[in-house]
Amino acid sequence: MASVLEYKCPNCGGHIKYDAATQSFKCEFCDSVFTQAQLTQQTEQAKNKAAVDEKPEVTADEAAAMGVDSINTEGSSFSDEKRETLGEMSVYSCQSCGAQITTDVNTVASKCPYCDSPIIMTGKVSGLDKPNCIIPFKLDSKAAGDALKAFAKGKIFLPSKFLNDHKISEIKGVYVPFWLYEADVDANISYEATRVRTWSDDDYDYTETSYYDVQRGGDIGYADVPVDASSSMPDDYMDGIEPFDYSEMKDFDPAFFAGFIADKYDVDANAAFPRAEKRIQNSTEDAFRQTVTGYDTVSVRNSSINMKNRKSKYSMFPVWLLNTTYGGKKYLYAVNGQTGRVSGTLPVDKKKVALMFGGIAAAITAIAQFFIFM
Amino acid sequence: MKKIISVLAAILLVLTMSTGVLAAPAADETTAPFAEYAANEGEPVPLLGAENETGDSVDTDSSEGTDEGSLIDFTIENYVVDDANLFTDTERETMFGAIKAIRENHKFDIVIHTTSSMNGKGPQDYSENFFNTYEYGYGEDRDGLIVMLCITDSGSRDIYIAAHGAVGKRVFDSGYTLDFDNGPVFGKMLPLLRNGEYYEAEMDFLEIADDLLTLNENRGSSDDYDYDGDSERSTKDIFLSEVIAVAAACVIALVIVLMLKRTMKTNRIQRSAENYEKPGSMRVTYSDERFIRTDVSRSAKPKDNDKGGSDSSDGDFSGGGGSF
Repeated sequence: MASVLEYKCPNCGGHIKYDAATQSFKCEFCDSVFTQAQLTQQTEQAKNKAAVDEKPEVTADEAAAMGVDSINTEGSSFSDEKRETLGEMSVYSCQSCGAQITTDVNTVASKCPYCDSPIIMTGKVSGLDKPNCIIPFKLDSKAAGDALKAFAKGKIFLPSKFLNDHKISEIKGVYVPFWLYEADVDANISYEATRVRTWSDDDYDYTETSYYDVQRGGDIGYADVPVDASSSMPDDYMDGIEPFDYSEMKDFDPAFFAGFIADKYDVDANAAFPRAEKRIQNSTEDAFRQTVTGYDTVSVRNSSINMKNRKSKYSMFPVWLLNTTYGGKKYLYAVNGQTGRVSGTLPVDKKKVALMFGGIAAAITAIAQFFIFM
Repeated sequence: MKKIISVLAAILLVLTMSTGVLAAPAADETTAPFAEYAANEGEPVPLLGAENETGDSVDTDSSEGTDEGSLIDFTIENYVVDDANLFTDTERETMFGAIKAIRENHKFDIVIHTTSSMNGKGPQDYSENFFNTYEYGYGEDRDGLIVMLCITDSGSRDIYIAAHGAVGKRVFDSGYTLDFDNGPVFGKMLPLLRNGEYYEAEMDFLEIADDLLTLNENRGSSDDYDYDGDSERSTKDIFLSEVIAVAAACVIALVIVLMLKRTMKTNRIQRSAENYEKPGSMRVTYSDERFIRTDVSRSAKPKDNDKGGSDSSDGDFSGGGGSF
């Protein structure tokens, strides 16, 4: 049973990759285009053939002799103890060139570092671990680089050399695992609200504050609240590239991975939920807060938010990771592989900041002179 | 026929009155020259100089005539106008002497006026009107002040001091110097006034005035300030304003710069799930608003003391005063 999947072009034998720009499956050599259905068919055939062969590329003994842990085959009988000695690595054999590839235990899709052929570890995305859906890449690597340039352009405090001098040392197209949560919220919130009235007579200024207790109760529903499920992906970067356009979400098919890197989740649905819970709680309080009108101040005194009908979906979202260097420093940027939104921190030219601060302060002081010497 | 008679009667009336005016000073040397005028407001005011030419000049200081300083002759009758008859001759002369010295040293007019009626006006209006009508004040700017004391027959007593001109308003300002409750001038005068020691109070005032004017001159020339009807700004005030302006400018600049800097970093944890609300799923099923309590607090306003914005028609005075 083949645990590693590769899609080969039937016309020329080259590798088929998912082409983001045309949103189609293309052979990288002869440019032949294939449909998703055709690739699925190819997979089925390959599976049937492997069932007949039933020969792992490397035997267990050979693996032990190499000092690496088990080969991740479906239904493998190797114990998991050996896995720890190497610190969570997996070994695969490239079907095109025969090279041994070691990957992180969570990697689901990757490229052979020697012959660049895309490999997909279907063992990790099957059964219980199979993602529900996937948003395919829409931007190719060039578009990702352009998105970064567009993001940097026009930012006031950007060092002027950045656009020309920044170097993208590495650009990776990664499918990041996400949990999408759905919940119906039953909320009960109490607020303290005030109305303030002021008036004066000849001797005093008066302030009258009236206090009110305001209650709101109701329901509100949320769907597809995203939380990234990979501990190696920085959460703030993943939040920063939101939102994804769910209308382009498709049912999962490992074919979309071809040509990209993918990781499976290592934070399970329960562990990742608190982040979604916090966001839902904040939104609920805000939504009900908006129904409290006619007061001068409103603050939440107490809120009880109950989530019912919790559901989670396991999804794969496209992200371009750009490792950039500028001025000897490293900068990481994440680009939403579907919408092109960029998250990351741009370098700040301190001189420009100081100049703007001084300029504004001077201008305001100059205007103030009119009022002082009026 | 009737017309002719009424015209003749009117002419006769006018003649009698004018004669009376002219005759009066001769009768009693201590009668103030203005008593008649006080009662007849609507009447055109004859030139005061005219009296002195025909009537007796009783003061021992011969009249200086009209000098360049003011539009009104500098005589004791004009500058110590004791309509309420509170002072003796000697007292008036002493006061006039002090006034004269102040005028010579400081080029500043001080008028002392007592009356038994303010003709229905308030003390501020009455004093300012008096000062203006008779055109007191030294120099083009008419620097000077009037000390008005009103003791009515019914026993109510009021004092008011109105100062005119740039120097007058600066040295005798409403906010502090002439502040009735807390200022130094009335602080000294009121105990004496309440005790009926009007002369002592006036002399005290003249002394204070002299000191204040001297201080003012030592501090620096007054020509720098050209404000019309506005209180003078000391260097200290301006320095404070500048400090506040710079501080405010820095704060605003800081806020703007920080806001712009924020756009340079887009990787941040999302606070809300607003984008993921199921549209139309929100329902408010329970809503209640209940009143709990009311708090009232108050803060005392700083007392406003005719600070330049008096409601008399002439906004060029500072002043202070009240009943005692």
